[in-house]
Amino acid sequence: MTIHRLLTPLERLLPRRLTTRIMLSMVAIVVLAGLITAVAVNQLVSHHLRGELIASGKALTLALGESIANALVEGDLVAMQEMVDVTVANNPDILYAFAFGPATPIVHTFPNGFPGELLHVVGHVDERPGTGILLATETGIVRHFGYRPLDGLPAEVHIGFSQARILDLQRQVTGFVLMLTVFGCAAAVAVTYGFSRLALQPLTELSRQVKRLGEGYLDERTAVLADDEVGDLARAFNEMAERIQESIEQLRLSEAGYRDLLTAAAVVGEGIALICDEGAEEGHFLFVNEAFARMTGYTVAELIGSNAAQVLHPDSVATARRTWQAVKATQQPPDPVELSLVNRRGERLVLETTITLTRYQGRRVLAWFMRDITQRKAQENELRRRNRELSALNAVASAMSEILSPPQMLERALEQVLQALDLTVGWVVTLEEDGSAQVAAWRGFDVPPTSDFPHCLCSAVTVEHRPLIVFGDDARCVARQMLRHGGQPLCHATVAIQTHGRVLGMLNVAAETPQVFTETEMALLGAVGQ
Amino acid sequence: MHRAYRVLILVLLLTTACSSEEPLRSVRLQQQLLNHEVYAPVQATHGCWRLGFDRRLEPKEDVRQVASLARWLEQATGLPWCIQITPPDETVIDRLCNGEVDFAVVGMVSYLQAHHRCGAQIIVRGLNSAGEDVYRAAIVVPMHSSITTLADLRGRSFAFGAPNSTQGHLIPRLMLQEAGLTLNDFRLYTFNESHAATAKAVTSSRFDAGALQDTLALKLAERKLVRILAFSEPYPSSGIVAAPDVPAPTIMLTQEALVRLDPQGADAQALYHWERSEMPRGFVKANDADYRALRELAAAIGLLEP
Repeated sequence: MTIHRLLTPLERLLPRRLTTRIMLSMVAIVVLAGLITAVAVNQLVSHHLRGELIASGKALTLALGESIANALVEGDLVAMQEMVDVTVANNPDILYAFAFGPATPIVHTFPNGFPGELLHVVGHVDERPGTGILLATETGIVRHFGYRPLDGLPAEVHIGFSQARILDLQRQVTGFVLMLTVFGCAAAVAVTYGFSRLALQPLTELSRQVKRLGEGYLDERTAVLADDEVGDLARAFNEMAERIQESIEQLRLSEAGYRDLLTAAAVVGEGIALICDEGAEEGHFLFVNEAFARMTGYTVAELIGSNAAQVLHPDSVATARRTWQAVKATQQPPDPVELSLVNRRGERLVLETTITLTRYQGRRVLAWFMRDITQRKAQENELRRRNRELSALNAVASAMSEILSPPQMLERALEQVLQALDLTVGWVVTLEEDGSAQVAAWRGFDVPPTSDFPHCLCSAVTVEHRPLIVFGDDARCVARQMLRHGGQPLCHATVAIQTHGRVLGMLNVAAETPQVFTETEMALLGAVGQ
Repeated sequence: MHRAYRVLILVLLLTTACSSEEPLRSVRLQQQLLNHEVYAPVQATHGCWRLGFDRRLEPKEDVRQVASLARWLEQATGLPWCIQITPPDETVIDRLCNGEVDFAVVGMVSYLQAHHRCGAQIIVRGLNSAGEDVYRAAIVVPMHSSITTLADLRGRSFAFGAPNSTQGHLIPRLMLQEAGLTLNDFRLYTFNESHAATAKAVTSSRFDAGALQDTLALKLAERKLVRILAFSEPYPSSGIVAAPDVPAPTIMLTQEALVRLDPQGADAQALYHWERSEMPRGFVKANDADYRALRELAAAIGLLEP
């Protein structure tokens, strides 16, 4: 983590190209190696020369001391001067030499006089020359050796060696090594460039092929030429391309199958719509098939992008939303649900639907499958109506077949009709031959009702022979009698009881709202009246 | 670029210089120049027992030997010792008698002269390589010389040691005298400052013969540089004398210490080439009576004249 943190800023500074990076690395290595070598060689040369100079200085100092010792003892100034002069003359590294005996003045080689502070700076001199001391003089660094050749006596020999030769040699060696480093850098750049071009050429080619693969050339493959890392990479690339191609092929097949599935579904009338379930387009159609478009009466293009609520019947919107929420919550397709659509012509279609979650074009969608069951539902209703009708007629016929008085038969028949229609109030008016009418049977009344025939509105049924629905605001209506007795305002349906074209009376059933008397109910009532 | 290159070299050199960790002392060689005669600061030698010597070998060798003995005496006696070099215009006898030297390593002639002049007394004398407290003189000739006897020296050139040297002058004079030769019998004769100078004179054939101390003669003969013509009789060897004003306790302390000196054993490392000296095995106590015969000879040849 720390290394990553350290490398991240460095990564920003480095050039983008790998070749340049490798070249920079090589140059850095060569420069570093050159500097290290320069320092190391410098140290080595310095150390070696220093050792050589010290050894040479010690030897020369000892030699001068030995040769001059007798003269020091004897105070032979001429011999002393000659020896220090010869010593300096024969050794170009020696800048100066001087000596003195126990009772002699200092004999030296300084042409302009002896430096007054030199002895003070040099200080105490040992019995042996040692490694000398370094003096910083006007003429450069000097290594000074001192020696007492006469054991225990104040007689000394001093020699000053210039360090210039060491420094010159160091300078030359350092310059040479640095020049080598520069040449090494140039060579490293050239070699690295060539090598990196050579080494990276397969990578560059591979990169180009990857790019082509990305552009859709799925049959792009690279030649594996070497059994090295690049070869491994090339093999991996080829395997990857192979798999991608297979996957895309499978995807194509899958898509084709999917399309076929949708087409097949459309052929058999299965409507399919994909409704977006996320983002700003939530609730909008992303895909519809032809079957769905036919159901709605719109074109596919008109439906795409429109909201599903626009085609749902208002009664079904809440159900649809509830169902879809359940699918999203459980991630499981629900049992088929009946929903209603309103098509372009305003007709209501009953659909049997199911829904599931899937992804389409990268988005989460609700896949809505539906089948138009409007006709089937109508047939079912018709069948149900006929069943009820048959049941009611059967009940009426059963009642009529019993050995009963006419009023009892009418009572029995009314009871069966009310039971078939699931109502509680009803009555039967019989027409006498004299044109009068009387309530022959009734149900739901506390007291026997009376008929205001032929003044009541329902009397019209005897003339028109068609079922009628009479609202309860007619003061002459029997149903009003329920109101007088504290009941609810009623409306009632009336059908003529006729046989062989002759009207024998009227069958009435009452309800609180006219919506009870559907077409089906009226048909059933008419059938009973017949 | 060129400047940067120089800076880089300078940095590397400084790196090298820094890594040497040697102190650098600043000094001006071209200022405060002294044109007159300059002497080094004198180191005080007060408060030490001054040990002098007369010339035996090369000056530096004499100095180193005597200096090493002085250091050893410091340890052995617990007293401070320092050596004194006799200037060319003086003798060690002068310095002994003038009170400028307290003790001196001298030959017998020098002792006899100092005793004669100021009463200096000998405290120890050396033991030679055979462990004897005597030494001999040798008369040597060049390796290929035709001289075979002392009598053959007549009419030849002869090199002596110092005039007051026992082995280089006194004893050889006695040997020549016994062989019937006097100084006048030589075509040429000379006195040298040391035995080493005499040896050079003979080995270089500048002189036909010369007088040397026995140890040096034997060493040169071993190296085929000279041929020994004759050895003398043994005589009491060189020793160490004390000036007349040195207190007796100091003399006794020094004498006891010198007798304990073991140059070939425990004290070998402390001494400088002591095997080249005339007392390679150390010292024994000495008495003035041991030198009676030599004193007479010295007096006879005029070495004790004031």
